[in-house]
Amino acid sequence: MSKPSSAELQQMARATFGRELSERQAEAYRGRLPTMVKNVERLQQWAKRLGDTAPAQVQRMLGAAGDD
Amino acid sequence: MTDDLVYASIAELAPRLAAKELSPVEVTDAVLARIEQLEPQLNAFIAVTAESARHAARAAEAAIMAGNHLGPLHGIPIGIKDLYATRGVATTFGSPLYADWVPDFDAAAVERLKRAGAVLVGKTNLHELAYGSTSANAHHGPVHNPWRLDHHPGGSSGGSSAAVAAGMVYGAMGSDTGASIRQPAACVGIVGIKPTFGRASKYGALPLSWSQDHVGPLTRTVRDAALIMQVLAGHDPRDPTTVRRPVPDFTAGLGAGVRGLRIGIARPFFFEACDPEVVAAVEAALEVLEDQGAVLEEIELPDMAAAYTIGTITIAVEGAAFHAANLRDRPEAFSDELRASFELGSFYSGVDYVQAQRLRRQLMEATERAMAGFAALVMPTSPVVATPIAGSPPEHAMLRPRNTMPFNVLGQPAISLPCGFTEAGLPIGLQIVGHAFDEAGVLRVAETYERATDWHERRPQL
Repeated sequence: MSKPSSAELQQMARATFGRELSERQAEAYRGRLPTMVKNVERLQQWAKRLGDTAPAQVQRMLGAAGDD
Repeated sequence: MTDDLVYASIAELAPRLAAKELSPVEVTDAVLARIEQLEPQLNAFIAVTAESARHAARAAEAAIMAGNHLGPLHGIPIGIKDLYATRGVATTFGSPLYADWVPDFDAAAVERLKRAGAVLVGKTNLHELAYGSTSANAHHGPVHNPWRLDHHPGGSSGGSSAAVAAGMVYGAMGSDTGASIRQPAACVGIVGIKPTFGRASKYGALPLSWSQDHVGPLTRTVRDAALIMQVLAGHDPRDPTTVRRPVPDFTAGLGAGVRGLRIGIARPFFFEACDPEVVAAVEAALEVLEDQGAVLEEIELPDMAAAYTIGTITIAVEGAAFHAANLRDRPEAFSDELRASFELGSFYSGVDYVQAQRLRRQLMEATERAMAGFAALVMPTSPVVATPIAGSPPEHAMLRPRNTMPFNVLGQPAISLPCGFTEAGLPIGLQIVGHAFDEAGVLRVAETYERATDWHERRPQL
């Protein structure tokens, strides 16, 4: 698979994340940005089946810390 | 010094120390000599605290001689990943950002180990800020795998894994946000356990991702992992994610075997795109468990690719939040790799993060339903084995944590233990996953496999 060009990376960042990339950023993010774009696309697909699900709760209320 | 002493298990040493047949000073001197001999090859430590270790060993010896044996860790030399705050000892997190930080307090894990009488011999090297799985630290140098010195030992707890595998310590602390205890344990042929989220306090350990970070030990045997988990587990008001749940005796079920236990084999996702030698070793391990009386059944789990993706998003976003001020004020103090990773974390929107957490909840509930009636799941710890430090294939960055990350997202306990070697002599790990707060069940299955095999008795030639 060929690596995306800087112009393609800049287009991805703009379209998916609303960000403008410098040349340094485009070069530094080359390995990760395409995967992040896919992650966001997957989230959008999965969002259709979330219904009324609340977020996972892994933190606890102050004062209730440790209650099981 | 003999290999017999430095490679003894904690469970073997403890009764000899308690019976005064062996002194903590003798044991500590043996591992310090081993560290001095091997550290130039392995680079497993950022700091070796020989003087304070000898002081602690003498104190342990005096206490034991006076009849005050504190338990199985009393007088046992242990390594601490340099991610845990240690009172009076520099704590760098593997980054120049904290090069000069000398905490005036101990992390909860360190505090508990000291209280149990363990002798802390040094701070182990790690992947920078614990965000990576090779321990090729740009600032402190790469850690080397004791089985093949030009290969990585996994990460981020690679200094801990290398030190345990090489007989430099009897156990070491790791931390695990996506793979960082289990994958390095697999890469060097030792045991590593990530307990249930909320089982052990993270107080004083550098966060990478608050909702996925776990603390746990790396050891050479399952029983030793249980002994250290026993000390680490329990509620801590300083870590609001810990639960006030009774801590069982993690060694109680060891030796009970697996006869009649239903064990789930989740082939979709976890067995896909794996090194064929890894799959062959795990298939052979399944036969061993079946021979021991386990009932193996295919299990259909919810979408684990989704769990993996949620994990990568959650770490990226929470990591970017934790490091936001340093990214703004001291970007030059991050390696290029880490700077890019954390900068990109801020690209995800608030909506993306919340959707990921909603999906996470669905997956937690669906996985628990799917596992009803099963005692555990078994699978490869990682689809791939260790690769050369220079020239690791780029696609391995996503593969290394692929089979471990889902259980950081879901919070379930999981252990890795050795189940074979490749033809090239590189260790392969077997992952066993249990129900939330059933570390004892995970340890029971793991110990049954360990007792039926001898992979844990193999030693690297150093």
